[in-house]
Amino acid sequence: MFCRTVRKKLKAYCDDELPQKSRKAVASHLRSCSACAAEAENLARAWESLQALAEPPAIPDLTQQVLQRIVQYEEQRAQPWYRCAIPLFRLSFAQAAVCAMIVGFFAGFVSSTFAPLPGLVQKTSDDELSGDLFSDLPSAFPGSAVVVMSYDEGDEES
Amino acid sequence: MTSPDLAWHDLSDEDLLKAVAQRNKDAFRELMRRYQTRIYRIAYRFSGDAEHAAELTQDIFFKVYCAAPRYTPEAQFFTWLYRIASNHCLNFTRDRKNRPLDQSVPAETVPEAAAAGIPHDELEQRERALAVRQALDRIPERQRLALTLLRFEEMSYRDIAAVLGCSVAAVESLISRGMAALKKYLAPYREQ
Repeated sequence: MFCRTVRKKLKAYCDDELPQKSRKAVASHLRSCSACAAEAENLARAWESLQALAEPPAIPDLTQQVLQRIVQYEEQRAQPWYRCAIPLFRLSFAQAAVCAMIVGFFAGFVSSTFAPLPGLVQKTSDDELSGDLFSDLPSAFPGSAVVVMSYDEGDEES
Repeated sequence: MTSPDLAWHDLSDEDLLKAVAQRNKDAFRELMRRYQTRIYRIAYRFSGDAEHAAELTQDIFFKVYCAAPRYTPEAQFFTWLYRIASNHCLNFTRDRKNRPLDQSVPAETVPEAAAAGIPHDELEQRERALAVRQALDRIPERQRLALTLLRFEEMSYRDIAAVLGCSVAAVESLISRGMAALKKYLAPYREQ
């Protein structure tokens, strides 16, 4: 076994983690190679030096802190979805107006392009399937009314 | 001790975790009682200071609580827990690299004012501990984690492989390279 290969396996050898065949090969090499034997000693010293690391100071009991965090998390999850969405609606009047216009325009565009509202379509017989079917609809339908929720500070529970 | 407490003591980790998945807080308390010290020690060895260790430990157990419903019995609870702990510690280190210099990073030397009046042996021990700590902090995090689990948790290579989600050969390589790096960084200290 070459020195390079042995040195890669030295730690595993010291930890008794090598399969029997590899273990015998490493042991045999160490008996005949003083450089690798010295390297094994260096490794053992470096390993022992880790023992110098300070023990943790008094380990605190963190159970209460973790349980508090869990309770807060579960309370937050139990809130209705719109309470969680409150920050999204903290808009100024101008921002809310712009949003309403965009949503209304888009809804109107979709409505006029794809789906005529019931009641606005002329009743025709099955034979009159022509392009005039939807002529009563205005060209741009404003869409459904948009309700903007605005919340003042203090509305939320603290 | 009341009967309900004794009942939790008698349950296996997997059964406790099933109860935790049902949001049973007493079962969770028992799990923390069993494993909190070990997880804290790993977090302390890995991060190097008590404040971060406490923060990491709380995060880890919080994740355990949230992930309990997803636990499957194919993995041992011990391996599953340590995997959560390892991933969290690794993520913590990566996040810390991207943050400004941490105030809690230990000083490079034992301050002279603090050294005055301390017995020579104790001072030497502190300096040695500091040197080892600094050497360990320079090692890549996965290698450091593998060394920590091997040295301080006395886990086998097979267990470490299960925790890190890699092969035993990969663990062997991590430890070999970690030790080579540790020797290199400790060499200047030994020459003094």
